[in-house]
Amino acid sequence: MPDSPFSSPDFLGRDHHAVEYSEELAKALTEGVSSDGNDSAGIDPEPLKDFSADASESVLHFENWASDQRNEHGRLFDSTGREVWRGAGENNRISVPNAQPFCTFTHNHPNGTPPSFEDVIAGAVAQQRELRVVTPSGVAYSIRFEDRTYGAIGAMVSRIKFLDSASWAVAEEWIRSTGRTIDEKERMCRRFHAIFLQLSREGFMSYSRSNAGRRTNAGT
Amino acid sequence: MLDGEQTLEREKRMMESGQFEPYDFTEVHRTAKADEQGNSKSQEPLSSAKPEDEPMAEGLEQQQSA
Repeated sequence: MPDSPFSSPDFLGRDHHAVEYSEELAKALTEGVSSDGNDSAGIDPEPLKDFSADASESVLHFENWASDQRNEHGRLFDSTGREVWRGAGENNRISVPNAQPFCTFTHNHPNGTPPSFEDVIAGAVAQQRELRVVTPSGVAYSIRFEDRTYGAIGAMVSRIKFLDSASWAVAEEWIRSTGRTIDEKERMCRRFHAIFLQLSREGFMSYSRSNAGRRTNAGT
Repeated sequence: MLDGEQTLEREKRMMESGQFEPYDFTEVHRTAKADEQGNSKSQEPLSSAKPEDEPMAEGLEQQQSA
């Protein structure tokens, strides 16, 4: 038997240190999600790192436009910020071509949901530098992958499976204790925000969620 | 790649049943493996863009044609 619940393998972080999941998940799940501005909990993901001002503007220009579209639209940018692919999909999916490693992929989610597990895992397998998602309300998600080796991706998938279950349990307890009523979309957004923040703390990714509305770099 | 619609549907089922339902990663693994092996049917050249409804950022056209 383990000495405490937090010494079981399921509760060990990437560096084999115990992590207080319940407390961290509850905090991430209940705070900051609906507030404006970056709520990455002090984790600086440096979105669009290494892009020139013009390249960043190209990405933001597209994201501003795409956030209003009814179908998914996506673009791939190489490590210098040069656009190498663009395409359109259906209202809930888009197919992305193989591309050289370390691309930045951005697309919109017309239904307002955060990056899906499939987005994250496929992005890591494709060796993407950064995965970005924008929603109709102007929320922008950024995930930068720190380690794209197969071992790291496998470990990340294991953590996602665990954190998915743990955050669900935390959400159940929070809703029960507060008596709040939230719909499935808000609950999913809160859970996934908590999951991605935890994955950031464990070193699998750098994650930020900004709620700055429709924006460009111009004038900012 | 799918957006969160399947996850949203799963979230709704879990809320109604009160029971956690593990996410099915089978499709994710299949898609990732296919992409890794270059079997994606979705490869589209840059020319597949629709300039009439996807505006270029200023200066980008020049960069691409250079």
